[in-house]
Amino acid sequence: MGKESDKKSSNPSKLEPLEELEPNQKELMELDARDMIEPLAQKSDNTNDHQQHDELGAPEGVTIAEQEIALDEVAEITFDEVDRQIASDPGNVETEVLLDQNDVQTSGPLDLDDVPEQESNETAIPLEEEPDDPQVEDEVVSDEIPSDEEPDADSELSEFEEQPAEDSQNLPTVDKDENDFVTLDDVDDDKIDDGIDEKRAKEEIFVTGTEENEDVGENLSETSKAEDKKLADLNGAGKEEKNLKTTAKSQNGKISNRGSLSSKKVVIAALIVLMISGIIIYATLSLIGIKGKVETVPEAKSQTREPAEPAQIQAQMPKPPGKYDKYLAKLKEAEGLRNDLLQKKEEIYKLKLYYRNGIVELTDQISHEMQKAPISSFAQALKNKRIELNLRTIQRRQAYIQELEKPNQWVHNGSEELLFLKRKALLGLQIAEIASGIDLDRHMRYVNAAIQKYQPSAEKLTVDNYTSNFTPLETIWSQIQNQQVEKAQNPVSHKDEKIIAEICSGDFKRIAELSNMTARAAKCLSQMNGSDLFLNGLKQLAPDEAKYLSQWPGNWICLNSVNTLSPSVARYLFKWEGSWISLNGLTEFPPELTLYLMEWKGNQLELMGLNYHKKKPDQRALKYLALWETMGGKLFVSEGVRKEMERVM
Amino acid sequence: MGTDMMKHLKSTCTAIAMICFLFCGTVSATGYKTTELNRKMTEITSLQHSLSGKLELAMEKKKQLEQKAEALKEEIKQEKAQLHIESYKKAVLTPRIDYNLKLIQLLLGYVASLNEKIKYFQNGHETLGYYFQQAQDDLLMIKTLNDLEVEKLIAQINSILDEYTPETSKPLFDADSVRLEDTKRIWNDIVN
Repeated sequence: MGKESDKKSSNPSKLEPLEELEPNQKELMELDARDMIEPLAQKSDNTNDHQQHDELGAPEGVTIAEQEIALDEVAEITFDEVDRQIASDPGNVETEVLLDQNDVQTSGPLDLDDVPEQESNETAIPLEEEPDDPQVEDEVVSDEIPSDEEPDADSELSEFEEQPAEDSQNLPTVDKDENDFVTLDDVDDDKIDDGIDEKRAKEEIFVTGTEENEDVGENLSETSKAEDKKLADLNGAGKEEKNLKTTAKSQNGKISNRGSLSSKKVVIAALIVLMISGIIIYATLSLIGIKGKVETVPEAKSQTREPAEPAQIQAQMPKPPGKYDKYLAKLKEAEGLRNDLLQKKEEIYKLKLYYRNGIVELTDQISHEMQKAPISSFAQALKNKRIELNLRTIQRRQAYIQELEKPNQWVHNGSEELLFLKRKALLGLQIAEIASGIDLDRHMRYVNAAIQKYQPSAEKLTVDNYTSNFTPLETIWSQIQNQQVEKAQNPVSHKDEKIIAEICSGDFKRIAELSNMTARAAKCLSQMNGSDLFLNGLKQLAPDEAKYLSQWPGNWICLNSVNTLSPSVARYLFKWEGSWISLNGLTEFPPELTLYLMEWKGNQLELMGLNYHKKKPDQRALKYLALWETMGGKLFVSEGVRKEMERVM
Repeated sequence: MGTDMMKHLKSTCTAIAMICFLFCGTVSATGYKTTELNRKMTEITSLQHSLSGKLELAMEKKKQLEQKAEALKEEIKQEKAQLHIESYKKAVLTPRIDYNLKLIQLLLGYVASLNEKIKYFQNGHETLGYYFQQAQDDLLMIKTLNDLEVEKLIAQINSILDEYTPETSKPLFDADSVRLEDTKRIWNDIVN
């Protein structure tokens, strides 16, 4: 500070600003006359030109201290001299008059108010902080602050002042002014106003004769203290005069600094406005969720939940890949292959059935040929070309049936192994979450191997060298001959012969009593008129008999005592064009029969005697029966069979 | 006079401070025990909850496995009736019966392991309940008598917590170490 004062005192142009500001001072005087408080601000506004001037030409370093030094010289003049100067030089006196008027109007304290505001910033903040520190206030009020204590008093502002002081060592005077600006920037208008209020409070102390003004002046600079001492030494001037002079000095400093202060105030105000607006914007952004506070985040999330519902629905559509999806996909592949194998197995079964039925048909044809011509030996049979070819066909079909058993078994084993592996893998998947040691990959390796193994290729399903399994024709002939013999051993009873005779004579009254049918009787019955044919006493039906019966033009055939039905019989029976067949004596309905049933044009079938044996389930037959129903047929079965059919379907 | 008063005041303050310290120490110890017991009770409750979940899961799985085994047994019975199989040797030649017997063998092994685990968890759950009850009782005692020896109980609780807490994150059993029954014995059980 001392250096700064020295520099200031050595400035030759220290009085120039004071002279230049005199016209403005006049305006201030008028304004002060109107309002005792406003001039402070108005002066700042009106000194903008001076600030510009200072910035352009006049060194701003000629501020408070320099002006005070300049004023020191003026202060040495007493009031008497002032009066004289007024008389001699109105221009110079005008300033003094203004100062006097200000002093008189504001009675001194107004000058004190101006001190922290217009003089160096070093005193501005301590003054502001005085009310917070009673000790400091006491010191200020009661004791004079020693000159060596000034740096301590300014130490609180060291962070504001150190930087300018350092800069001032290397920079010219203009830079020092900039440092002053920097220091001034830290002073708020509010703080200044607070300082004004505080000084008003001190004003009363000052008026009662204390030397508070001197204390304040000592806080300003050593120069001002020296000035005060000089003023105190003056005999003709009272303390009020000293105050007036001090006020005059500070007023001059005020005038010189007013321009820079006002601009600083504008900058400070702008900064404050910017800060406030920044805080408001920040808070507003936080409120609207752009830049968030922590509390607003969940609200923003909760607000976005409702519009996010479509996204959730969309997210549900593509299912996230599950933990076991690849295993399940492999098992699905195995299941698909197993279904293919089962389908192939069904095809094989149907083919075998077809061959068996064909064999039965061929056997019937051979029997018919044997009846037409007396053939008792195999050699005679071979001479009959039809019998020979039929025998060869039977031989081949039997070989086919036998050969089909091999792929059928392969397909069956494959389907069973795949089922086992699938079940085992599913079991592994089921307990994988609760048990260790489950190697699902190992399961999948087994499944993969089975899938590769049981692909139903032609190579694996081929039937090779079926001729090696041919049954000798003679054996087949013998079998057919034995069947003929068995049939011949069941002679028609006398009663049945009589009834058959009646039927063939056109009397159909006792047809219900017929227990054994013959081809002749069947042929006669086919000529019967009527819609119903009740043959409930009949226990067996041969294919040729069925063939004749199928020619009957009636509507309903009742064969409720027939307990077995061969495929060959079924083949003819289900060619009948009637609509209703009662076969309630059947306890079983083999799947072979269903092939012919599917071709029947009738629509009602009674199978009330059909039983579902749990120990001997025939799911396939039930399935076909159910399938026939779905094709439009009406099936009459027991309730138990009905339930089982529904379960199968 | 002032010095005596100061001394007297100092000694009084010291005595009060000592009393406060001792009282606070006692209160602090009691508070520590209460807090520790409460913490242990919370841990017990949490572990019991975990064990209950594990138990529920194990029982659910066990039920599912038993149902599967029953279905497979029924299938074997049907195959046996349809194919007129009477002997075990003939039965194992039928793929469906043979495979089903192997699956039942696995299932029964898993069920047995689950049974062991269920029993173990039930024991743990009950033991934890017992210690919880004791902790509750001890808390009431502490509240009434201001102090009680709880270190032993806490050690016991810690022991059982240490035993059962890891089990909640472990698999219920090891499928590789499951004891498998003989398929012939299973067949005989089904037939008879």
